[in-house]
Amino acid sequence: MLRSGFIKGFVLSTLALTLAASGVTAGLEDQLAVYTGSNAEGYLEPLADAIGTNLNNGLFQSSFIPLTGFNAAFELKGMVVWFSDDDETFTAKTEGDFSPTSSAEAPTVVGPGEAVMVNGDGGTTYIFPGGFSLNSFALSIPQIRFGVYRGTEGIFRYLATELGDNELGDLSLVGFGLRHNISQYFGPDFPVSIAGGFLWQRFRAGTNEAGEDMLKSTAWTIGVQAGKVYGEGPASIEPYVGLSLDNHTMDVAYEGESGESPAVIDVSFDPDRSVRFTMGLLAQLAIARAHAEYNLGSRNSFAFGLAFGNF
Amino acid sequence: MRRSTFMLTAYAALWLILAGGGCVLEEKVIEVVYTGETCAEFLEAHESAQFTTPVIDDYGDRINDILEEEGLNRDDILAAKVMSAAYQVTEFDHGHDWTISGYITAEHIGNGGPAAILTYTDQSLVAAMPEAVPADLNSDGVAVVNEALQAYLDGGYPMLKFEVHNGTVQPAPSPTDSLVFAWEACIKIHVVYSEELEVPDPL
Repeated sequence: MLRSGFIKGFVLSTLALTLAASGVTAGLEDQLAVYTGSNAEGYLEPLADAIGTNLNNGLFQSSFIPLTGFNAAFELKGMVVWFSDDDETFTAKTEGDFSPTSSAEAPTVVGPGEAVMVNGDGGTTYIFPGGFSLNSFALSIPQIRFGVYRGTEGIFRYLATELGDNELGDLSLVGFGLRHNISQYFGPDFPVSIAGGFLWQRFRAGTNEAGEDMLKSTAWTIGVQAGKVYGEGPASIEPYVGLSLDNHTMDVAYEGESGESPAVIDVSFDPDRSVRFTMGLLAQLAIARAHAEYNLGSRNSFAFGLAFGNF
Repeated sequence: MRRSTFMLTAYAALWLILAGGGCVLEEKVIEVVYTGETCAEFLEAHESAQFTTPVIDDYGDRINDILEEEGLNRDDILAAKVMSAAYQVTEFDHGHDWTISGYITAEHIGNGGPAAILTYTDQSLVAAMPEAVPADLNSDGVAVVNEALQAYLDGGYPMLKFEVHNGTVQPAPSPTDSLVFAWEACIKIHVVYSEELEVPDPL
């Protein structure tokens, strides 16, 4: 009974954090409606970076991959990114027929909730919308790890929910990857475990007024990991490090306020490619594993995870 | 540590983590900006260059319509300000073009104005269609409309009078060549309202 409660708790926890993330998308289209391309990009950039960073984290929790045998594990990954003061504002430009065209430091999507007013010619006023006052952004993702064939294991991530609200639309995440035991080629006495792998993912959230995906994100990561297992039998700990190359793209499509007929505005963020260094610690007890790691990259982040299976 | 104690500690930690999943949501108040537009339509039919054309606008009703489109009512609104204005010719069919010069006034009936809100100088009717022409706004007239918006937010139903005061027309119209066209002047308003959302902000 206790074990089934844990599984139910894992699923509910995953849904809670991913559904909560959809709370951001629910309000996003309202906030974006007054913005066209360049302003929308500046407004969303901290969130786009955070989503990409979180998606590419938590790929692995151990550098050790057995050479043969059947292994399967259900894992729950949590990733969180903190925002800095620099993320709270961006240089926005007034739009439309407002005169004169002016720039102002306006809130980003993670910035203060208060709107910002700018005075113009003839006593007019332009108002920039507020943000969601976010200190951090977290994602929780379930994944399945399975293997092994000649030191190669597979990773599969999947989550799809219908949120039952026309404004929110659907939310889906799918990803797959492979990891391979590299240290096997250095002989049985090689002092550390080394593995290499990649993961590709696609994340979709929200539905705009035109019925299209409001937010689409694609991420991939490729890297190597090294660690050393201390302990034998069912209990062990493993400090590990990793070095990876991450890539992330994001597209947002929302209905803007332009002209008599609302038009769908597409914003595509330039691909964000960066190197990331990981330091972590894994603890295993029987069929359970827990790990925590810190990632240093273009945006620092923290990841943790729980797993159950035969490893 | 005994194995059973360690297992109980691990289970307790897991329950804390799962329980914490319900504490990651925070209620945020966000100020949202919506752009609304009100237009005054003028029908012109004149045989002389100098003319005035008044239009009475139930502005309270107009603002209600704008808010209803967004599912809002006046109690939701924090502020409403004039952001810009433009005018355009909507109907014109003639053998030749005209250029007109003048201004439009705004009056909050019983409360303020009239004051010039926008001017047009040597404006070609053909050039003013189909795309709207951004207007040069006058602060006195903008203040009248802003004051009417504030009166609406305070619970009133302001009535506005917009009036065209035309000064010159080239070529001059006459009984055999009368000036006939329809046009509209539209004011864009930025409306600010607050929205409460629960969003994840765990740390």
